[in-house]
Amino acid sequence: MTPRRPQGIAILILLIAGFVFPASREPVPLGYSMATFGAIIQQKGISGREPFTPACFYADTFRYGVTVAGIDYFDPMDNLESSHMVQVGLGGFCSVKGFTAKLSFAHFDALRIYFEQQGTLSLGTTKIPFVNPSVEISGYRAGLYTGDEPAQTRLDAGASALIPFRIAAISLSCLHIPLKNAATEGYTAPFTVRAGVHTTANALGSQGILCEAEDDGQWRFRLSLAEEYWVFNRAALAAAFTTNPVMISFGVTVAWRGTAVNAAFADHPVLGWSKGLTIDWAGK
Amino acid sequence: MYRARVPKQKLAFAVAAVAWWYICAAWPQSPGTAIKINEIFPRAQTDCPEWLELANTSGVSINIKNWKYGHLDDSCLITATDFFVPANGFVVLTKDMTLFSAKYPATVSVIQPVRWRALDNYHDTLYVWDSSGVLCESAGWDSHWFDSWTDQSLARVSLTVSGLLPEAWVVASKASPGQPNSDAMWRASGAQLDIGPIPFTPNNDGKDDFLSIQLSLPAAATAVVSIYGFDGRKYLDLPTPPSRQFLWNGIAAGGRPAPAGPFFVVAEISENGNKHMIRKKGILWR
Repeated sequence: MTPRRPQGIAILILLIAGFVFPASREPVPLGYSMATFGAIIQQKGISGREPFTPACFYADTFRYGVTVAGIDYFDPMDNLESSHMVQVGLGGFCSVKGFTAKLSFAHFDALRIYFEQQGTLSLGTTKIPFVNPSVEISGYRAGLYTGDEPAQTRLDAGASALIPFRIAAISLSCLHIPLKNAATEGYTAPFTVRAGVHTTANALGSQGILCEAEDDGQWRFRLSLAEEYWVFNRAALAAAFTTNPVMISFGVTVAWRGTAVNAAFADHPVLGWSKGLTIDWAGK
Repeated sequence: MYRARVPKQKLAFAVAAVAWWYICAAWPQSPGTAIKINEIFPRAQTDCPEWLELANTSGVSINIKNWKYGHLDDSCLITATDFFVPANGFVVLTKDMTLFSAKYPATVSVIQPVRWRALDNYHDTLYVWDSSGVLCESAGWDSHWFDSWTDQSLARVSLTVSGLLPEAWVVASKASPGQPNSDAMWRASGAQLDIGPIPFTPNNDGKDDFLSIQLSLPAAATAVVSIYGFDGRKYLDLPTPPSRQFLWNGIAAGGRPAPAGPFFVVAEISENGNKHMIRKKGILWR
């Protein structure tokens, strides 16, 4: 019998990932979306299948896949120069007969003093006419490595939908609906509503607009614009701009069949550059 | 149907690399504490005994009853009775309190330990343990670090750099037991921003409830100091012109508690028409 190694590895990683998604107040999204601030969504492509986005964004022929991603946040600064703020994410998806499950785990480390862990399960389908819905549930855990204080945990829910049209898709998301709050104030993520318009690939590439509103005591709004251009379906350049805080990003992707590697960079005018790397593999 | 093929070795390498990064990122490291060795006078004179100064960098007073200092193999009790080092204040430990007080009568927060661990005139390392026996501070010096060290005290120029490193110390132009080492900090590197403790925990438990933000500026410079959250948004601007020290209670400009996690203190300094930034990282935990 031929061993089914790739599938086995995918299942193993999904099991290890467990049930706990990227840091809850991250300045840039983890994974392939870093270069576009999440404003580019292609159902048949890397952005749709990456496990750090809702399952409803995916509608391709790959049946499973895994992604590893990491970000090193901001410039080195004048203190604790050897200690970084990094996040490593691991996840995968499995898609069968129009139903997609994405599972991801992320570990965020700040200065080797503070950590956050996030796990998200997202279930979505393309079986419903006109709209692809998904639901997400995320668990968070935050603490200090010293263990002097108990870690804080919380559970959030989310719902997303993608309405695909011929030339563009509309995305809607509600994030951070609290199911279980942390014991202490200061560990919640603000309730967030997102709406976006994402074009399909055209002569000028793909374009996306993402509007985001956060209820963090007062409503805050963010607008992200992104452009991505693929060359012979083998390499892509992406660039994006976002407000509140004002940031720019760009990324380079190289893809070969089911494998893709993406390097992304995002600049904050005061805090400096964040650097990200994503490796994605999908199989049928 | 297409099937992706990935060489096993490459896949194994990628997984191993990610695993190594993850392990490195997750490896625990102890944070510093609020009590720091801030000034040392090891070269005793006939009119002045050896002394060392401890600084409380937190916003609350700290009781140092049953704390110890000394070497790893020879520690001495600082005091067996309650002694509170005031918030952002100092205490001086000396071999001979009578002689010390005659030399520095204005310094009132002084302790003479029952047994004095002699300080080496040339190179030494000192440790401080809290009442639970937890090592919370270490500092060292070596005469080779300084060009013109005769009988002066050594002043700490940065409380965020390890006290074991040469860059943490300068030869003080004037000893300042019980007082901030502001002269030394000014001379050391021009504009300087120090924050601490890391992590700071504004949960009203009486320990590390405030973040001390200390700014030293040359006379010709001006600065705007701001605190940013990890999400890149500004929490608040500190009052301008910035005072020498600001204590932050973890409340953002909108009156809401700042979330737990990383934050950044940024001083944008203008000096003689030139602008530059000093940026510091910190951790907030509730």
